[in-house]
Amino acid sequence: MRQLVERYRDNVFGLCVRMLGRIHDAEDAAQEVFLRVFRSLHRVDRTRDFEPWLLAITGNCCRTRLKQRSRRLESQPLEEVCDQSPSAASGDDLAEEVRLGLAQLREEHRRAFLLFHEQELSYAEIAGVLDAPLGTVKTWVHRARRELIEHLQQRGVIEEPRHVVRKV
Amino acid sequence: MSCEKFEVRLQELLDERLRPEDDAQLGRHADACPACRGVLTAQAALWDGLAGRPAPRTSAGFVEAVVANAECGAGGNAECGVRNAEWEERGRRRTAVGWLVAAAVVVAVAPAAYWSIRSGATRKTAAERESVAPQAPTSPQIAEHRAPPPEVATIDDGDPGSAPIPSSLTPEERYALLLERWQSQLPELGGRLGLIGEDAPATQGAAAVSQITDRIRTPLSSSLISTLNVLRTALPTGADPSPAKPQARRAGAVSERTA
Repeated sequence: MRQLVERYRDNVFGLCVRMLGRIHDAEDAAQEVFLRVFRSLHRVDRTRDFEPWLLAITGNCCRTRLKQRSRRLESQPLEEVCDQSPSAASGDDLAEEVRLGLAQLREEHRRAFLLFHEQELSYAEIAGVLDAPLGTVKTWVHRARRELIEHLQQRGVIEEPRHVVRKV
Repeated sequence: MSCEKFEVRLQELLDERLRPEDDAQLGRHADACPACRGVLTAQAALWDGLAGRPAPRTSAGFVEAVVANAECGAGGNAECGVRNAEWEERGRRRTAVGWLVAAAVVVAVAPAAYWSIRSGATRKTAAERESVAPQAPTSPQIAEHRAPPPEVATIDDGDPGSAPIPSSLTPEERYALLLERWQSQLPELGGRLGLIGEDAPATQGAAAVSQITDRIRTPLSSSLISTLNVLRTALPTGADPSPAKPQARRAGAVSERTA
């Protein structure tokens, strides 16, 4: 039991953080995921991979919490995640600008982008976690990239281009 | 390569988790197009910025908390003190369902209770109205039908006025007849009351009256007083100012004025 938690806690917790945006919520969700896993271990198909099943449980748990949160009309500040980031504390401008750009994205765009680039999930896995079509997830990630690039250009972090970036 | 193709190629490389700045085609276009070069540079900066973001880490006691929670749940002990989000959620659901059921019961019972209370108040008002309003006269048949049968014999059973009296008699003769009938019925009444034998002669009427128990003394006294009144009004020289009893009136007796 302990080995399983130690082995997969980073994946589960990382996914929860990217989905929920709050450290405390993510930790609660990760605990719930492992409890669900322990209760359902006897039903696991040994012939199939364990991680996609764990990913699916994590996605379900996070989506449930997001629905509860939306019912409570709570905002979803991303600052709580990044406040603990050492780069923000050390004054890393680029990482701070990325954090600000991520905070301005639509929720589903940001989740899809972070799950792809930080959690390194495939589009199919993200589609399963977010319960969205694969093409839609791909579009979300592409739009998130463009918007983040535009944000960085507007903020003067990099050299301003001479004309507007064309849409794909 | 056009700028549109540059954008598509850039996204394809990023989808394959490759670095765009290493791609020769994109590099050639970026050298000729400052805008796309800016995009390429921004993309590289974004990658650097993402790389500078630390991976989220769980708190120190996360593993221990999860294991304790799992053991707590496996043991069925709900008082472990470690938070179990799923159990809390289930508890909230149960509470919500309980409130829903209670609300449904209230919604179902409230109209019935309202109508019950309202109909009870209506009945009560009608009963009060009946008690206040004068009773409508009822026919003798209905009154006789409603009156319960007498369980025991009373002194009224000896009422001498129940039998018809010939109209040809003078008032004095009528009352003499009434008195005679009443006296003749006393032994029968005493026998029905169990005081004397039914075959006793009429002279035993007074003795029978003396043997009447306290239970019927009061009604018997009332009846005797009525008789006394009849006698006093029936006497030629008697002039009783008290009104005649209904009992005497019913028997066709002459009123005081007539007497």
